[in-house]
Amino acid sequence: MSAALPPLAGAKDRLLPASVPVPYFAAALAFHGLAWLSLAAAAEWVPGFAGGLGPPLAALHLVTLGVLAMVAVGASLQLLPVALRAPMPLPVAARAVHLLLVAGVPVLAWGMASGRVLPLSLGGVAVSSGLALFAALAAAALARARGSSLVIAHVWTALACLLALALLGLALLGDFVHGWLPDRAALAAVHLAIATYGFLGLLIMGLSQILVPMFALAPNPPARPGWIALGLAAFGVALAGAGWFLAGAIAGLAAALLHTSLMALVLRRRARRRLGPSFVLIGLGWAMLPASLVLGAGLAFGILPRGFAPIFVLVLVGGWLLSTVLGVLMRILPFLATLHAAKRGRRLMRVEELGDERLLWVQVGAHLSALPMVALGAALNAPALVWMGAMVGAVGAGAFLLFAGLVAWRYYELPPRAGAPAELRERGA
Amino acid sequence: MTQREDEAWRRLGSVLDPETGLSVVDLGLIRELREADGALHVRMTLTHESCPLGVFILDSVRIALAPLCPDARPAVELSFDPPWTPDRITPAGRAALRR
Repeated sequence: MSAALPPLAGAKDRLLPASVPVPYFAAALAFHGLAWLSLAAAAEWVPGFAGGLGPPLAALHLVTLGVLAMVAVGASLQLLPVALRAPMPLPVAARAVHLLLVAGVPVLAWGMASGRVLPLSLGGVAVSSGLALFAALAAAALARARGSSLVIAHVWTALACLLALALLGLALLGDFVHGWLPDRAALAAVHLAIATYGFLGLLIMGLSQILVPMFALAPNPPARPGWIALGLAAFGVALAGAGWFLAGAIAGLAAALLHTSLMALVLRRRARRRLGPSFVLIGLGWAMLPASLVLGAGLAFGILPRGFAPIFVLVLVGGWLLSTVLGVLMRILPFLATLHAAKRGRRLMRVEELGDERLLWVQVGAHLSALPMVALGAALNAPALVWMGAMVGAVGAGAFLLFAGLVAWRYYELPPRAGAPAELRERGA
Repeated sequence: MTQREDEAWRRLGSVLDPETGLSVVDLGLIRELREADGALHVRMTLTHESCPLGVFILDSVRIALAPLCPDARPAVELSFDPPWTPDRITPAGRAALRR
């Protein structure tokens, strides 16, 4: 047997035990359902919501922190060491991040919904500490990563945004108690832009460079336009961070159009024709990204009335980020199960065999129905429609949870590999 | 092609890429397979250099070929130059991907 060549040297040792990433994804799926139910409970306040404490803010953060950030952190901790040949983070530290987020997010959401100072403070500190610890772990790994420099640059920029958004989040929470900010609404808008387009958006853009070609069985996109898209996106986030929202939206729109055209190029060159339910959501996400920027620009320029703010947030968080993250999660959950099963010396099983695609179609259908219903409810000042949309979303979340349970069950049922020599079995080949 | 090489190709046809369900042969991952000095030598690639499953696919190739080399373990070598492209997929693999 030849020695493993450098690209895969030590690859198995850089794969975190399944007990580290799986709880992140399980928590994200649970928060996904909870977020839709919270939105249903907050339905009467959604039309005309313009920020500030209350049930809609709590529902929003159950999505952004409970689902989006949870998946982003779990997937990064799992994939960065493998895909970028970075050293594996300490499992105990990775588990600590999870604990801080899982404990902090519901407490923070409760504080936001109720306006109580104690849960706001405790939840805010726990979540910020978890995100800061994650940033430290990811930075330590990235400093010694040897993979794609374009992806590494995306993640570095996303981490810088993460620190900024955590600090801004703490400042906003402090303002609820002390009222020290001169222009709270402007700072909240900066926080939203840096969290969504900065941290989550850049992380998604970076990981898409690896994941989309891999899932679609296509060549990598050209790197130079990818660098330009990253530069434009980072510039746009910086402009928004300085309070120049219109200029930021225009730069962001240029970046978004370049990024989505690169991803479209990847799909045009793909060998795999059938991409399944996950790419319906990923495609929706790609369409909603520029749409959110157009709406954001309209709000910043004053063309759109302030009443469009909830729809902008819905298109941004639900349409782009949640669609994309759910689509990616549909693919990586069974993929990671296969990866860990192989590490445990189990048979290499087809990714598609691990789940039941019908459940994913239920999730897709529910997601595609829920978003316009909530948007329409917000636009028409019809809380009942918002409630119905949120309940449909919750049904989809339930279907996805069932899918994940099925993957987990089949993962534990996988038989050992037949014909594996003893030494390969012993080292978990 | 020797009898052992022939059998090796047949066995590699049953080593599947979990992501696509295609064999490593149909996916065009095997660049060279030859018998020399009583051992099998395989030069192969992966669809992406950073493919997280790569190391496990290599192990599956070794496991599949091990019974053919009772005295010498199969030598499996990775090469990413030139990188894999979908053009390497066999017609049978393309037909399977269209289904």
